[in-house]
Amino acid sequence: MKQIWKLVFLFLFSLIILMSSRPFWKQFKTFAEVQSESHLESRTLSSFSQSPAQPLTHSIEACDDFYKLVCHKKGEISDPTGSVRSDVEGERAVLQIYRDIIQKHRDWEMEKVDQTLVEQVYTKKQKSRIESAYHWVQHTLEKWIDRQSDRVLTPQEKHLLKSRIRKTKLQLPSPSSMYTDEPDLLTKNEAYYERTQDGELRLRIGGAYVYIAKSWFNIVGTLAHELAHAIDPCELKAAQLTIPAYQRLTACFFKTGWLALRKDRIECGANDQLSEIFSDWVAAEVLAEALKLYGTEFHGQQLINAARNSVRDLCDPEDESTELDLEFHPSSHIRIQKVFGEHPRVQGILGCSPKAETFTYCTFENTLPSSTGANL
Amino acid sequence: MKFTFPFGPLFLTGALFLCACSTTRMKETETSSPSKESALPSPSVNESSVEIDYLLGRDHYHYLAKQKDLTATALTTLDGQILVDGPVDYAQYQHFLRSAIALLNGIRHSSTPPESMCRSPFKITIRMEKKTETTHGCRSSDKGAFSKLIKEGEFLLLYSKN
Repeated sequence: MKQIWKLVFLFLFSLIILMSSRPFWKQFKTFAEVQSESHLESRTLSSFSQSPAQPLTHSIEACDDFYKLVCHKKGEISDPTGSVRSDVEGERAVLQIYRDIIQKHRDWEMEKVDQTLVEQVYTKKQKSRIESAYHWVQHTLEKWIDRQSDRVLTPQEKHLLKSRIRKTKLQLPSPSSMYTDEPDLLTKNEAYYERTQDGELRLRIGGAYVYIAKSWFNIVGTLAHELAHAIDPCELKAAQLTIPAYQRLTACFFKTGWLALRKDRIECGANDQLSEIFSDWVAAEVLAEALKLYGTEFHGQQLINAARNSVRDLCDPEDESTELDLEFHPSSHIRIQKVFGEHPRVQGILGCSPKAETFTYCTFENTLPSSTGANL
Repeated sequence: MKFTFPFGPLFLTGALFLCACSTTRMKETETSSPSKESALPSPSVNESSVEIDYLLGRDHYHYLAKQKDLTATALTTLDGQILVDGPVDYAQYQHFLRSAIALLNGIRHSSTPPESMCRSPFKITIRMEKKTETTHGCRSSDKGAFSKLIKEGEFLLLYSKN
């Protein structure tokens, strides 16, 4: 009897240790959370595999013209974790909430109105989703850095990059006073990285984005892009750090045409897209991991929709008369098609045939001096 | 024991000045809440407007508040699409106009050198009758002053909209 109790105790103890292990817990929690929070809440894991395979109506487009598949289709696209609504819809929705609070409590001070807005928009559930995704992105980025060979990144360089990733804090209100120096962010669909004058590295997320973000893949893509700014070439330059692999990578960005070579370009200054294309490139790596994670759980069309939602918010505005800002951001076609859609691992996950050998996709490895893949 | 202030008159003047300033600050604080808005003087112009264009990420925002005689309207758009528009409270508009003028003047008189690379630029244009004043700035270098103005503009729109 005593032996049995000992075994039971040992089993429970081991279970506690295993469950409290951070990487394991985060992986498990992420999928469970995704499952419970998607609009298919009642479906179990097994039901994803058992649902009838839908015809891959968009599989050819996904391989040949991913940009068209993402941006030329009107209406909401749903993946098993949710969907993506437009920036305008998100901001209208939050402004409506704001208006209702103001109208209902016309005698309230602005601070109290803002706090109530925060409580309704930055809900515990939404914050938890975003925080969980953020930890997953941080962890995935660190693993990606570690996977680079020592010829690409030295151990010191890896340590430096990982420490910047870890130092970057995600700042989500409550209280509303957390954004007291940027109060209009509470109603905006903006997510951004910044380095404060005190040297603090942080990410902030606008209320409209928090309110409407449903697709886990879009959240991951957005967070990965912003977090990548913590290690982008311009941030490292500002910190007076130089990494040879970055210089080779930049040359590849120019060679492939991802990065516009402009006569009036000042590196990391005016008319330079380097930091944005770098962040897009890193985000593509993270998204490839995200799609791979669910590659066996989602069937073809679900996976394609997950990929579409990952970058759906990068499409140009519907109003074609809107002037596009291309000073710092590459065109949406480059970002969606070239950097993400033509990522070899993304193409592989979507079931596309391998590209021709002459095709170049910039990676740290194929920009090494002795690489055969690069045509630099 | 006699207790004297060697700089009596100066101290009194200073105290009076401080009282006046604190009174002003209190009034400003009070007027930040619409419900406690004190009556503003009549406008000296028949027409005025505050127009703001700004960039956040890749998103283009436009805000316009204008007044003609005793009526005022405002609208805000994102990438050319209207987010909110409608009539606004006249007294609140006057308060917003003053805030915009204060920001514009603050930028112009600022000793901070302009940023060599601004990722979040903005432009403010204020028109009063036939006079127009425009200034450009950078969101990241003004310690939140621009963001607060935008917020006040949103509040103006939403407070007034029924």
